[in-house]
Amino acid sequence: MNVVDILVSIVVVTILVTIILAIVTYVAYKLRLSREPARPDDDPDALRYFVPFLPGMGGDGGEALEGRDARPALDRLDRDVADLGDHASTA
Amino acid sequence: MSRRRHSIWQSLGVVFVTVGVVLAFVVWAVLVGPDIQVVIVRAVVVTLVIFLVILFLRYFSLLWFSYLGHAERNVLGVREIRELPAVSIIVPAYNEGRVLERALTSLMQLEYPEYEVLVVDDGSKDDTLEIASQWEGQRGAGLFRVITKPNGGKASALNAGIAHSKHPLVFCMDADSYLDPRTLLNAARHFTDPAVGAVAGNVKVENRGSIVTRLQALEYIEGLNMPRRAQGFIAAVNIVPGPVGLFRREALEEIGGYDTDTFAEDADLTLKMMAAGWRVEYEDQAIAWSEAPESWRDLTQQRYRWTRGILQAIRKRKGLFLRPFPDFPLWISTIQLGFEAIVWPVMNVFAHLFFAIVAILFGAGELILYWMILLTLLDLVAALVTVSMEEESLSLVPMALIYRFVFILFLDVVKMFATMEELLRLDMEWGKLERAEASA
Repeated sequence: MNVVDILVSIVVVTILVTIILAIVTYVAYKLRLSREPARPDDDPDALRYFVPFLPGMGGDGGEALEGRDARPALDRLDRDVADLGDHASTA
Repeated sequence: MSRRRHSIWQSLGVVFVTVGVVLAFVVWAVLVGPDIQVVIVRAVVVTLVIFLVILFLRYFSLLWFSYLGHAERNVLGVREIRELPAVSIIVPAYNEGRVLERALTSLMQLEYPEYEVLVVDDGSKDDTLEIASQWEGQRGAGLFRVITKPNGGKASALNAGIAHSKHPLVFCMDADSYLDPRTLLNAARHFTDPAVGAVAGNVKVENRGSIVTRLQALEYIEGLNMPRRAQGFIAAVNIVPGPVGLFRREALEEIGGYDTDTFAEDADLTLKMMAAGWRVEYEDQAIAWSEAPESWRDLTQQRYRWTRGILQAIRKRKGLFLRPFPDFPLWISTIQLGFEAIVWPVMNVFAHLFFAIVAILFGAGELILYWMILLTLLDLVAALVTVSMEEESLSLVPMALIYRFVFILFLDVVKMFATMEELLRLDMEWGKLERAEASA
């Protein structure tokens, strides 16, 4: 086996192994997605991109709260959104 | 079966069908008569020539225009600007507690006379909001503010930040990136031209401790920044990257901000801006350092999302492909985006697979070896030129030896499957990469 044959073998094996590894990695990525626990918002009818608009709030589909006091208000907001359920609509 | 699991099995079905078709072709090629095998070998030669021609045209046109863009900046110099307009920096963050501190520290060190920083907490479940809240107030020339909103995705977080900001220029970045001190200064100069709507910056990979991250570092320089520099020469950059983009507020308001219906809001916004007639330029000294995926699986996730997001953006503006005039640079830029996203990955994968199969079955290995050596030399030259233009570490150049036949081939397989899934309109979700602790 001469040098050219060895190099050809290396190139061919590299190409095939790379493609196979890419396919395996892709399949592994998809399988990992399937094994993740379903999130509560994995509802087929859930809004995937839009923030629910609640009456009385302004701008961009939800009130943006500023400052250190934002967290308690956000917790209240989460409870309000959960209570509204099917009545929420997009901004 | 849940909707998610249903779509995942559909995705796996796409993979198995594709692999099955290829294997069927191989079996057929083995079993078919010698007359047909001669035709197959001739087809290999013709395909090889066509592939080489396209590859060389692509490489040399990108390198040439990239050099022109580089020379224009270095020979003519940067534009002078008398008064630097104030900038609003938007930092959308969802569960970025591990890396946010580093980003905000870099913003505090910016060399710019006046700017504000708005951290938009997109309903994080970790300590992102707490960390960001500690930064509120005036810090040097920057005023730091924090807003929080229910989780709605990156595009809605950016829109919320824009709505709460007040300055004539808006800088959008990622929470897992950090900026060079002169990033804003170098990018803002482009806005002396009233036709400029946006400036794309230079994203560099910060974590280079493994082969996969070093390959990405080279890819960002050679595969992403070099084309952007070429597109910048004709002021038709087709993607202002998420980690570093400076926008004219007037342009953002005219086009209605970010749309929330794609997974690549940066590509979508850029196309929207160019379609509205704004020039989009590139500044390679507006630098953002970003964390690249450290595992092949995380890299797969990232590139899958990029590919499908870009295709979603292209699909929304199909008409741009059919209108070469009056904006010919825009048309060229759009064609290039579509070619790189859809056509090239498929061509690349099947060309390599075709050549490997024919080399094994029909003894055309020597021809293909010389072709590979030629391409590797081309890659080495391109790596040397682009790394030098960016004054980067020359230790990245040897990565060019495996850049095309391992790294790009791997990515193109992922892109190919992502393209098929997007064309079949299979469901997808954002996903979240694992974050390493920010380095000091």
